[in-house]
Amino acid sequence: MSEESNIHPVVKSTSDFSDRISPMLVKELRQGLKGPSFMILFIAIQAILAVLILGQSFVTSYDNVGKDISTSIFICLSLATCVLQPLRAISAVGAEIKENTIDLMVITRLSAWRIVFGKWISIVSQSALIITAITPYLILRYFFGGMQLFGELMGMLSIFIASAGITAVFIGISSLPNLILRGIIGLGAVFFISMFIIQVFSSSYAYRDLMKLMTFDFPEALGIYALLVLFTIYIAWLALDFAAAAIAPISENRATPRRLITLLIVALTFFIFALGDNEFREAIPVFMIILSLPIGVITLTESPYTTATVSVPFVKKGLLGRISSIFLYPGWASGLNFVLLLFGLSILSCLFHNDSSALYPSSYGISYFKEATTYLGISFSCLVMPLLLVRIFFKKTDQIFVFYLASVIALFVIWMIIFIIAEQTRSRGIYIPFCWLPPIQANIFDRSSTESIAITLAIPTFLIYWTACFLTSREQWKHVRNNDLQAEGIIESERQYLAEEATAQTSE
Amino acid sequence: MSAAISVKNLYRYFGKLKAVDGLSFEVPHGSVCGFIGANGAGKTTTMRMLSTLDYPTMGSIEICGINVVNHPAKVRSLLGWMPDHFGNYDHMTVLEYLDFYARALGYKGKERHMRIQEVMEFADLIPLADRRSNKLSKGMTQRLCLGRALIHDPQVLILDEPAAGLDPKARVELKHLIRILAEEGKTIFISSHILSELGEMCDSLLFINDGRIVHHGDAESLLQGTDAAGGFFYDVQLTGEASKLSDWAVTSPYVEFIEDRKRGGRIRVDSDDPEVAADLLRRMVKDGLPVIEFHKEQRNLEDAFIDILEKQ
Repeated sequence: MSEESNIHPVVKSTSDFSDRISPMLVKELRQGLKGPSFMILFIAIQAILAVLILGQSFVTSYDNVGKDISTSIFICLSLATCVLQPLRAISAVGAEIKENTIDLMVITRLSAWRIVFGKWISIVSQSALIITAITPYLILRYFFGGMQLFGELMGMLSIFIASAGITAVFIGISSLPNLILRGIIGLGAVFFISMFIIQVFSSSYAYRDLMKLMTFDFPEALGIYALLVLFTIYIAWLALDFAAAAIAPISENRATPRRLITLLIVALTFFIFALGDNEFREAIPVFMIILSLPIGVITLTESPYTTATVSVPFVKKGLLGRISSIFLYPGWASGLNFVLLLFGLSILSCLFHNDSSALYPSSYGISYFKEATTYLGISFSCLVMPLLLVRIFFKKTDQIFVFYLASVIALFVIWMIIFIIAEQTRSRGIYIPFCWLPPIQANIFDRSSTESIAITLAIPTFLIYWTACFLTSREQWKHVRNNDLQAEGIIESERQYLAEEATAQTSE
Repeated sequence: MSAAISVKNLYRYFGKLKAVDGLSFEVPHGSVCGFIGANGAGKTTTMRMLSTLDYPTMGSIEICGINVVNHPAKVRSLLGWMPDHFGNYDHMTVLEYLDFYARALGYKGKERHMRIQEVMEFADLIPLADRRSNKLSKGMTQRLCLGRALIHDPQVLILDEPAAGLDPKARVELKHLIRILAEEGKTIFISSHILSELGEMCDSLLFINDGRIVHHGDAESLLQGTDAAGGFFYDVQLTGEASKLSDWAVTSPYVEFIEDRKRGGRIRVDSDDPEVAADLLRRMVKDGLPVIEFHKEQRNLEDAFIDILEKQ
């Protein structure tokens, strides 16, 4: 072995980053900061802001110049950090898989999570660098007057949080094996985010409402902001976990922690809503739908193949472990049960609206409870129906997620065609023969003449689709039971080994 | 003591395709095993499963007694993997590349420096330290990849086609490095298309075809022709038209024409008896072949490989 003094000076130069920093972050920063995409973006945003502020300060003489500069800064910053920076992550995991470099990484001590997290944190820290670098323009903007200091700083913070969340989603997308699917979802996301940013900052009403939220100007603002932050963190984590699961070995159980954390988030959501008044609590089913859709898609598309070592913790916990495995064991079969559990919790959440008026028709002619449960039924049917299509038409596929998304797109196209025909011909009766399609039920529910049909059908439709999927899950449960039996063998051999060790130690 | 690599009834299906179809073999500690097969025979799939990067449809794999599917993390600490194809990173030097993997393998501070220095010296990478890793020649890249696989000083090395695409000089350098590693007592499982090199390096050879093992034995038995798929080879050179030899071989019993050469060809006979060789030469001359050279040749691994495939 060489001594430290014998180490070549070139080798010593690798100490530019501390050992405490994650290896992935070191790698990504070394690559990312040297790469042209970050450099160009960093310099371009400086140049654009300088020109915009100078231009506006010379050209405009009206009172709103300060607000206009703020809007320009927010639009530039949002597009840079919530669109362009996340776009850099669209091939983060996919490129490593394509180049075969991911294999070299996963056989090190880096876990799948650390690889994905390192990629995410690298882009997020570069976004933070961009945000920090525009501070001089904010100071400059202060002199134009009319600045809502707290609101605008909160706005910047919110853009950063949103950027981190969107970047995580793009990293999640980057792990999709199908390049076309990745491209479609990525471009779709970019389009909607860009439209949203332009809409919010170019409309004075939307901007005013945003500032009200940022300055906590109304009673529920803090609760809404807390929920949005909580939701962003949850979605970011879920997306990163999705990417990690794509590269993790099958002996690694990522599904159980993912589902347990979701249940924790549901509990936190219940807690936050419980603090508000009835009007605030009315929104809880909507929030439950938003919360359930992403985790639902992920759990319903999990690979059913696992190793016996995954069963060991469940088997060790005896009856409790076996019962919890019904909802928490990796694979879409237990995912189906987990979705049913989320549906039950969502129905339960409607009871938070504890005013008796929830049970009686409102001015819209329908009770809150009926409206909420109908929408929940439709939403959860939308979640389960694509799985049923996969189970019927692509039973033996390994790429459940890809075919699930393809089924979603097919359903969307069918819905669009029926919707266009119905609206163009003004014959809404066309919806009725297609009422078994969950999105069509939403159209039926939208009309007072047919809403009773949707109310009657929504929950039974979900339960029928769920049962049909459940009936196709026998093979997966057999695999789970087989793993359980093997796990018992592993536990027994572990016990024997420990007993032998103890005997050997005693005899010594 | 368990074998360094133990594979039992290994199957891997991709839909209807049986990439690996019931492999069972063992590689003892400290030995070098060559893994030979045509393209698409299932070599890379098997090696990926050994390296914890893919999982079997059925069967078990153990590296130093540890199951690769159930305990991938433990197995990964014991093996070094060099794939047949891999990309390098943009904007990253050779040194930064090795530094990243050393960090990823958990080395810190002084120890990390020493590990990097050791593999850089071993693979002669010090002069390339500041070169961009994506701007290296194929030979340099393979040395870098070997260096990376050795950072944690693994007991078992799995090398998938390490010599593919290398020029003769780079091939000799790589062979030299592998020979040193074998002398250090590492277990090496190596696949290659250059069979003659495997013959020199390997203690045993594993032939695979259509996902099944068609032969597992030492190189010596194959080269000496004592293997079941044997035969004895003669180089025959003529004056005049070389095609006369192949025409003659078609009409001659117990003689098989193997390949054309510049001034004759290579033939095979079943017997090693010198009398048979003498009789063969007599018949050639009698039949009017202008023989100017006739000598026995050692069987090479290509012959053995083709024989085995033909027997299948």
